Amino acid sequence: MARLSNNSWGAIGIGAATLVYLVEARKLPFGSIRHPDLGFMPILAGLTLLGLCLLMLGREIFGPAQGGREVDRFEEKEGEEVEGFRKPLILSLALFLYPLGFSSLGFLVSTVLLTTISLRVLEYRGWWGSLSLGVLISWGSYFLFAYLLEVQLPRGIFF
Amino acid sequence: MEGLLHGFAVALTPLNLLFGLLGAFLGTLVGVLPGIGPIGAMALLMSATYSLPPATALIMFAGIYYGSMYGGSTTSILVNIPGEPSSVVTCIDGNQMAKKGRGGAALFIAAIGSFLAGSIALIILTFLAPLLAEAALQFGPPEYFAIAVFGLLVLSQLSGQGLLKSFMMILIGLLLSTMGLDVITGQLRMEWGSIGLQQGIDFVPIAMGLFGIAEVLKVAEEKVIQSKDIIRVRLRELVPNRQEAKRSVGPVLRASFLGFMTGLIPGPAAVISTFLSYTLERKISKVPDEFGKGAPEGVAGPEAANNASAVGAFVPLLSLGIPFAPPTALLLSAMMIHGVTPGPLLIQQRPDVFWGTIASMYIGNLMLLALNLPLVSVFVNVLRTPKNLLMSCILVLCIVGAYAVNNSVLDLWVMLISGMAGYVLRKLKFSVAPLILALVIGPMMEDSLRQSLMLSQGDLSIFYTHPLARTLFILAALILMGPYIFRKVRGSLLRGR
Repeated sequence: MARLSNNSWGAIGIGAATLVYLVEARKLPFGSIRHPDLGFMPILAGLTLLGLCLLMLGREIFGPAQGGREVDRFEEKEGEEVEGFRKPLILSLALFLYPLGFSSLGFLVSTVLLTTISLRVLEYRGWWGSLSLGVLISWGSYFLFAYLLEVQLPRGIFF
Repeated sequence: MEGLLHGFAVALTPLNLLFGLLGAFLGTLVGVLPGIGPIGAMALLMSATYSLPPATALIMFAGIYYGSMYGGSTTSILVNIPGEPSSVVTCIDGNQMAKKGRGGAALFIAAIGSFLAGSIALIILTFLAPLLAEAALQFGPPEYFAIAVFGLLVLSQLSGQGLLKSFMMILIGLLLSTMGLDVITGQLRMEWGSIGLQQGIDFVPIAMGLFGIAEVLKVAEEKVIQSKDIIRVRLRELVPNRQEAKRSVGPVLRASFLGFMTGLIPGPAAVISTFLSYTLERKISKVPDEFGKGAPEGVAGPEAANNASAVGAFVPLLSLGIPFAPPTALLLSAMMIHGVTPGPLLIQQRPDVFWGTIASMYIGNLMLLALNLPLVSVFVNVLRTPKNLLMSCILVLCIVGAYAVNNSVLDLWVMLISGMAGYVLRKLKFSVAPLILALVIGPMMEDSLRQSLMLSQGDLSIFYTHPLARTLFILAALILMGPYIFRKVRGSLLRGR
């Protein structure tokens, strides 16, 4: 099976999300062109987006090969080498777990854990160095935002 | 004139001066650092401004925006790394000048050029924005719908990723903007049973995710980047020679007007203005061969143009309440968070915000000049900050910033999901700028469309019978179809030869 292009993956992903959106939007009254109701814009925009996704997919599958050739002019920078998806994946996982810890453990503990992991993933020295810096960044930001700027951050179990 | 004097009275208070300076400094800093643009910086600092008066917050954000235009040139000239996309063109001749030992002169030309162009553009803004705001009082729903459609269509043409992808991003932004309370009927929709989504999705967590978190994830996949050699510049080397100064005057003046006019167009105006200015200067130069080898015009023109366009972008924001670029979309969001309703009535209802912001830009321009030249070595050394440390700090700032909007964990989720989606979209070569703009313009666009249709009893000719709406639709169609028609005509001409 031929490898799917960037555009095809994009069209499939966006199309799937749009379908989910449209299922919910269908519950809204559409109204008419004389009296557009709640669902007028969501349904019209959703259907148009779905149509564009299908068009892109069709162009990628049946059209001349051009997948992923359109490049944002300023996206690619010189001198950067890509290592793979392992690190972004670990970081994404840590980020997904963060809101759970944020509510139960509080800002400080969960942020120390997240910054330590992020520093390690981003190759900052060893575990102890990352942990020390993680504590420093978390305390610093807590002091700045919670004390000085009076942002209500959850204190959590240890405070 | 009275309004501007009132603005100076607002901008010259110690608090506003302090935050104007802070904004200009932070803007320069983010301009220097590749990756964190003015949008990311404004989104990150949104939470820090909640306790500030609206005028002060806006003055700081405006400082970040135009400050970033200054900062980008420093690294372009000395390190050949554009801190901002709008400084890419400056690398071409700026770095060549630096390699020839004229780095100080290039920095001086960039700073003075930016200052002059910013000042000229500000004078035009001072007179143009109130006039446009007055005219906009006559606008009805069809006009607003036409402006929104025009803005989004032009942006989609200019975002450099192909029309299909741009339209898809615009539609995603529109879909996201439909969540929550419907203003016309007062009913809830697309809230997925969540109380948190009843007020809709906030713009700030999405912007933070798409720009901040996505950037952190992108850096995580890179191998450690080798630091480039930084060319050192001493203060006494900053003065350009007579020949360089003479060759820079014309480009700065031309770029001031060109940049301002480009700023009025939706899309990445600052970037486009630099390319336009560079091309223009090269075309009219007596020594076009020197371009690319260290021509002062190649620094003066683009640097002046990007600053003038940043000022020009304030015209639609301040007078119509419609942002035409992502940074001004964030400024609009900041205004709304601070309870200021942007639009043609802003000048009457909140003259302190309207004129205070404009006056602060005059002062900020001077501050930037004073900041940039003496502190050049400080800003360049910022590039030595380890990226892993910087990204971890950005991560924490994003978290606090997103949470502090409504003290809601839901916003945290929105930011994280947006961040991951933004990262994937970047990998798939989709630019998120149209999405951001559509998310902000979306509610206004939908309301004006529905109101227009209700007013006309479903008669679509309402968009034709209103002259401004008709003109904008025709212009948008021409801009959309222009490149296609041009290609067709050129193709048939070439075949005919």
